[in-house]
Amino acid sequence: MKKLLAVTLIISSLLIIASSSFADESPKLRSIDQLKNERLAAQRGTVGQFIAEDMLGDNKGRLLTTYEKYVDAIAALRQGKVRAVVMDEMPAKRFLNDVEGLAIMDKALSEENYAIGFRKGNKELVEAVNKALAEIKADGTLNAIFEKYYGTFLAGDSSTIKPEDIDFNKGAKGGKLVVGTEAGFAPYELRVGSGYIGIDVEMCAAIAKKLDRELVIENMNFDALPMAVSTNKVDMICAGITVTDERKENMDFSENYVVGAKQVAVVRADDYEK
Amino acid sequence: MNDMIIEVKDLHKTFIRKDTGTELKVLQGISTGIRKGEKIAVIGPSGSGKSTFLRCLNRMEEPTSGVITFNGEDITSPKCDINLVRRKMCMVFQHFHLFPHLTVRKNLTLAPVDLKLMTQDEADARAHELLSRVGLADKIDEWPDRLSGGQKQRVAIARALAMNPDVLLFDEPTSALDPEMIGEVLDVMKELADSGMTMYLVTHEMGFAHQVADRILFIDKGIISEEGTPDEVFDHPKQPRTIEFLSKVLRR
Amino acid sequence: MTMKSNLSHQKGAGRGDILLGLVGLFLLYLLYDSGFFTAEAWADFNRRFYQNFVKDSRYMMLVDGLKATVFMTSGATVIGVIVGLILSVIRVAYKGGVPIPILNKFAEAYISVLRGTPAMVQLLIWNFTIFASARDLNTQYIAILAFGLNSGAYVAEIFRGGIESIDPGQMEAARSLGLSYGSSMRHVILPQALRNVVPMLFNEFIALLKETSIAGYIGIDDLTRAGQNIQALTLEHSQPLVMVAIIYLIIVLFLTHLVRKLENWLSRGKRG
Ligand SMILES: Nc1ncnc2c1ncn2[C@@H]1O[C@H](COP(=O)(O)OP(=O)(O)OP(=O)(O)O)[C@@H](O)[C@H]1O
Ligand SMILES: [Mg+2]
Repeated sequence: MKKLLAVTLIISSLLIIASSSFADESPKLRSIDQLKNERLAAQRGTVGQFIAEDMLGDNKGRLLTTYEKYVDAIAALRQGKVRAVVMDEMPAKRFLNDVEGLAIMDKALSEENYAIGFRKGNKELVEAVNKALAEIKADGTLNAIFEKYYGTFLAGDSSTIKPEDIDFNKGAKGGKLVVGTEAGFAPYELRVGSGYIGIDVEMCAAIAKKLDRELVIENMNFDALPMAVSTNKVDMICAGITVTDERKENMDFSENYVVGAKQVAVVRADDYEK
Repeated sequence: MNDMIIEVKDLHKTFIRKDTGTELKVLQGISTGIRKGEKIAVIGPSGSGKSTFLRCLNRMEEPTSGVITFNGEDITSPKCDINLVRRKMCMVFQHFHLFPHLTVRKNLTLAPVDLKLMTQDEADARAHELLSRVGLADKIDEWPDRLSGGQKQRVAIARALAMNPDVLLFDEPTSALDPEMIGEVLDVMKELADSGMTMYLVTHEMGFAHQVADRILFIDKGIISEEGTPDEVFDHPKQPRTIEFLSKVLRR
Repeated sequence: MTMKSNLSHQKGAGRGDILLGLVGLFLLYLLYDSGFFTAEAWADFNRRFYQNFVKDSRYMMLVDGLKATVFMTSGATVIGVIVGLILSVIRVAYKGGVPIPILNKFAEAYISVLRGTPAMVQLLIWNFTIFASARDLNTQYIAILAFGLNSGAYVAEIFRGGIESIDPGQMEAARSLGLSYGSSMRHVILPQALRNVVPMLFNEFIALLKETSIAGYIGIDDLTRAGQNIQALTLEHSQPLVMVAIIYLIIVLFLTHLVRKLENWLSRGKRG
């Protein structure tokens, strides 16, 4: 009885803490440039972090907070702990769909390309994957995947996509193709029940099929992915990874499969005046 | 010399304190022995080395030098398996050291069964017999903590007897007992002595030593300074140290 | 147990209950004040609850995560106890005169290295360095190994304390009956030491249970990670984590209850 009471107390206090938010008195945001002196958040290890660091310059130590998960960064934004979250446009749009009171600032912060990452020097696999990639681009498979996800996710309902419908090419003769990802980045990759869905997942499934290999997904934290691929823990990493010069020094990339993906600033709607 | 069970030649034991490195010469040349069926009481002032002497006999303490033979075998040699010797030379301690996590029955049967000397059934039967002998048959399934001091020591004696030893070593078996419990333990030991058990007994119970022992060893400063029958040592001591010691303990 | 201590025990608990009740009332007031009890808030709470846990059987993600957490914790516990036992016996035996200086040095080094580095770093090293090429090995086994070997270092110290707290006379009595050092350890010293350290061991395993929450780093969907996966799915921040916290708490409270029972059972035969 006493324990039950104690548990109830703890839960209710957690709820109180969760529901309290910080009042913010400063004038509303109008332009991207204003963010240079504001507290920002990003997911650890993502390009969003690097862009925010560039924007903040010397103040990044004081003003930038990085989180393990996007959900945490958005929660920090909603609670007023930060003024904006720097992230990829597609996941940002999904947040806007599902979470009330958010807005995306008009101007994009940058544009970049996504590619699959490999251990430095793994030429053989890079070439094989590039060939498969070219084929699924040419025959329309990749486009169909994009359309399927843009349609459903941005319409706000993804429950029509079932992980069990994705063909992982089980028991393929060519062995396993282990792909590292961070499955909290819809619509690119998402854990659903005990399976995975997402653009990257379906694209990798299509590539695996071309290579006659069985797709195996390893779900890790985003900042652990480079380590996983460089130590051969996984064959390649595919997690909406932006190609940057710095990353190119430490790993090899496939051809781009997304061109012109935007990095945007997500802010609170009531804190933003167009 | 053939019925000698234990023979000790020029036994020395020196303790070295780890922190200061100073030496403490506790035993300084002891030569003696015990015959089959003999009962020897070891007396002497506190700190004179009585316990150390006893503990060297079963190599609970490693002798610094000297030779100890048991049934003709040199047990100080590295070739000797001391565990085999200890089965036949059991010790009864001042503080009983019963195993508190085991019932009285298990206290008695643990060693014989683990050493594969008996099956559990045989050991159980033997335990019952020995406990009857020390008057505690009804306590066979009791936990040690529920026994009185006197009862504990009687169980400890039974535990030693369960090994069917050739010699029993007693180190002040009654010193930790309340006065009213000493009698029951001495009765058991008297009965043992009468049954022909070979016994070394370190004790401060001079009356009991006088009554039971065949021979008395008076140890002082690490040597046997006087030795003889109870009558010789107790009634006609020759050494001034013995006289002084006896006058002190007997006056009490 | 005497009458007196019984009474005072009850009195103490009564005071605690009142205090707990007062704090509870205060918190309820705060909840009321924050608008938690309005109809909309409840509806919203229920909608989010449905989304997070009910829809598409999402609670199964938590169930699967819990399975992984329990599996890793139990596996690591077994390894931890075995390793801890071996290490502590090595150290105690060496101290007691058994000539095993190399083993002893190894045990000392093992304990200081594994206790001197964060479990998280060890986990990463096991997964990404030592077992880097063992890709067909289930990652959970790597985690069990990493957590188990880490826990072994702590358990070793717990056991050592337990063994050293046993009266040396116990060892002497066992040896004086002709039992070998190993038999004496096994039948006389360790059972008593174990009884003494049960509460500390359980605390160690409760800590271990919570420590496995870093397993997500090497790609294991444990309970914590399952909560994060639901977060990513529903974009809801608080409910999945609070639910995860509640599940951990219930397990820990249950284990604490269990250890009390066990302690009572172990102390049978002791005067009381
Ligand atoms: N393990 C040990 N390390 C160092 N010194 C020891 C050790 N054991 C005994 N001694 C010392 O050796 C001396 C003799 O001790 P011992 O126990 O043999 O005396 P004793 O004659 O049995 O005395 P008592 O009648 O008080 O039991 C004492 O000074 C004691 O402090
Ligand atoms: Mg003594």
